[in-house]
Amino acid sequence: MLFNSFDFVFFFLIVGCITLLLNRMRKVQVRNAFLLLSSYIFYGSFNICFLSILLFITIVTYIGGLCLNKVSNKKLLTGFVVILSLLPLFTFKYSYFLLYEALRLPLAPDWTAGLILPVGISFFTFQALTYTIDLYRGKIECCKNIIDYSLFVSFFPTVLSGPIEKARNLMPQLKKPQSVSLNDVMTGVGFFAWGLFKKTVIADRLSQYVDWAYSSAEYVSGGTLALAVVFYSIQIYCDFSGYSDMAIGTARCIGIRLSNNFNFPYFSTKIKDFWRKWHISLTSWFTEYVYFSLGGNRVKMKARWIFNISMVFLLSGIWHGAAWNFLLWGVIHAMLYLSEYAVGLHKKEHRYMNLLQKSIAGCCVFLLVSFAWVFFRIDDISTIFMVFSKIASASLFDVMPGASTMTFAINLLLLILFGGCEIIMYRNREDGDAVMSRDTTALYGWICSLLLMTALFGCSNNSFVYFQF
Amino acid sequence: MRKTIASLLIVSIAALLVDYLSDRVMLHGVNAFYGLDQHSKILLVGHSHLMLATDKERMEKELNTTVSKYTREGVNVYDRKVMVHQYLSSAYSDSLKICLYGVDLCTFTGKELSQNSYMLFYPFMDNAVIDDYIKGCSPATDYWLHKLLRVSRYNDDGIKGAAARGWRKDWSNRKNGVVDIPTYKKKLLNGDERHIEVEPELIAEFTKTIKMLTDRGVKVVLVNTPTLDLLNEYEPKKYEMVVDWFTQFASNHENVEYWDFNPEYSSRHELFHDRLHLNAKGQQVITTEIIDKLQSEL
Repeated sequence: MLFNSFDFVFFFLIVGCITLLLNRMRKVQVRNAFLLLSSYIFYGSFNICFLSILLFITIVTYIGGLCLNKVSNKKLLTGFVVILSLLPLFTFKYSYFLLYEALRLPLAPDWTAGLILPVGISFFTFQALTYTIDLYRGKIECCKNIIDYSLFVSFFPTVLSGPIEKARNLMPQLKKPQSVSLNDVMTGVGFFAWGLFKKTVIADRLSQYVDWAYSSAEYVSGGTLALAVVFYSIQIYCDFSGYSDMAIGTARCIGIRLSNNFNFPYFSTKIKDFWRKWHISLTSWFTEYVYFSLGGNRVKMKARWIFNISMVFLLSGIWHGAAWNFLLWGVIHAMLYLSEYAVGLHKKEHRYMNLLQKSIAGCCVFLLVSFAWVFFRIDDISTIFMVFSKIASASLFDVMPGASTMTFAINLLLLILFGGCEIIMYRNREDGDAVMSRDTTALYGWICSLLLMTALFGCSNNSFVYFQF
Repeated sequence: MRKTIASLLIVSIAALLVDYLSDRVMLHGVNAFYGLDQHSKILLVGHSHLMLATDKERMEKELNTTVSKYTREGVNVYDRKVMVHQYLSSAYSDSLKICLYGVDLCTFTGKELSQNSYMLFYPFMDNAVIDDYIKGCSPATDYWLHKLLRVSRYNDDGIKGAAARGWRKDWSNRKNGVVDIPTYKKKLLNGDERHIEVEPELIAEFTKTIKMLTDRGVKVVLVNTPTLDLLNEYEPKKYEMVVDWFTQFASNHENVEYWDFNPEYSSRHELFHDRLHLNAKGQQVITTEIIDKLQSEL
């Protein structure tokens, strides 16, 4: 039941209406029980067996939370709960890679090869851990109501691909009735329509070109591969931020405000800024629970700070997948981040740059990030090097249009349109929320235009890039 | 609240209007491209094989008549029956004399053909014949989405391309490349080629289509425009069996002819864009042949 499917639309129409009704009647417990059941149905629609993993994580962290209030050695218990919660993630995602590829153990068990990664496991595991760690740090209070807590872990808009909500943001909202106005609902629909547009009109169309170019990298020109590199950067942004917008919109329709996950990352003029604006919920998770735990920048030795930064990026790479290319992607970003510090670029304030400087810096950051995405997209190192050698040796203007010149031309026009929309939103320094809630007629017009454009130009590859993580 | 509802209503009506007008504009282009908005003496029905092998404009000019070229990428025998039915049920069919029906070695091979080619017919959903066909093929949600939201009927870029070319009156074959023989030979050596099958259900559909035309007094010409000799020789026995079947069918049916351009042109590799499709040069050669043959028929 993907967000961009009719099944989901029907599902959400029913769930949304009943939730709003229960909200209005101020029956919070009934609403939460209903939302929990709906979330399990939603998650179970992908594979009913995966529900057991979700339940396991929920129960472990819930019981861990209850016990944390009672034991004296909180640190030990927190460590135990964290390890136990990470066990399914480690088993399903990393056991095969670690045993066969990293350690090359000859007697490693065969069953690890056949494991199917439960969808969203990295997201809901990390979301549940925010509760355990925040509880240990005394930032939140223990949640004794198992329905409220289970809903926090499995809340259907976020369970598959985030945003990874912190317990201190989402749980208080789930504990009280939300007043939802028509404008809230329409703002949610606006977010959803914009996400749907990004996903089906931009990401899925570009994915056809990217898949074709990379799958026939041996035969296509260097210019074509260079374009595929740029297209993939846009594809992954539109795919993931589109999903996040749909999640935010869905939650908003029932009165829940999720945190923003993207803030125009490709307009960054520094790598440091890029990481403040890309997949914000994951970056802030790693910052708060890994980087700060390691000492952050309040360490005496510079080497220790470099280690802390590198560790965060390496873990971020591994979080995305158990493969060497993801690790390499993390290493590249760590190097870019540290290089920026080494040459002092991080000090250059964005507001003191003129338009030309900003444009040049922005293009450089975009190209560097796009370069790194190649390692993210292609899992075969020899193909990666072939792609770069062809790009370096060929004329950049020798671009092949792919399966159809018409499709290629439409894609370029849509990219210009999308780029224009992003620039307008960015220049006005408004987040989606502000844009959506300004003028009712303009909002409805915006929604209708997006839906018409999606109907005319949309296509679907029936998956989201970040589902694999 | 009243203001909000009024805004919602106004915007919805405006969106529906935009949707309807966009549909009209694109449908006009699509109809013009396929010649579905004109009284024609000649109707061409087939897939990309016949599409790239015939020059409609030249045929119209040199035969001094109107030609409807209703050829679409990937249409199978079922789709072609619907296409013929669509044209015959239209107000433009009264002038129809000859139908050139494209055939090839894989006409009766259903495997590996597109299972969702019905989507190509979404623009014509207002036509009862097409509406019934789509209703039978597509999931209910897809059917109703395309029924209600007209622009969604054009979400295939091929259809948008047809609409644009219809408005521009552009029927040219833009395939100027020549087939890469060494690569294709390698592909054949790897056994990476479609196998010829003869499926009785497809034969039955084909026979019904031809009957539909001949019952209306329309002469049917089964046109086998050339395919690359290497492809034809991949499974020689099966290939001959299919060709014999068409020859036999034509001789057994009144008002049906079979034209096969393979013996003369399949070895002229410079005429091919790929193993199945002719390039612009090949198109001109075959169009000349077809025009010559049609001169005596009209």
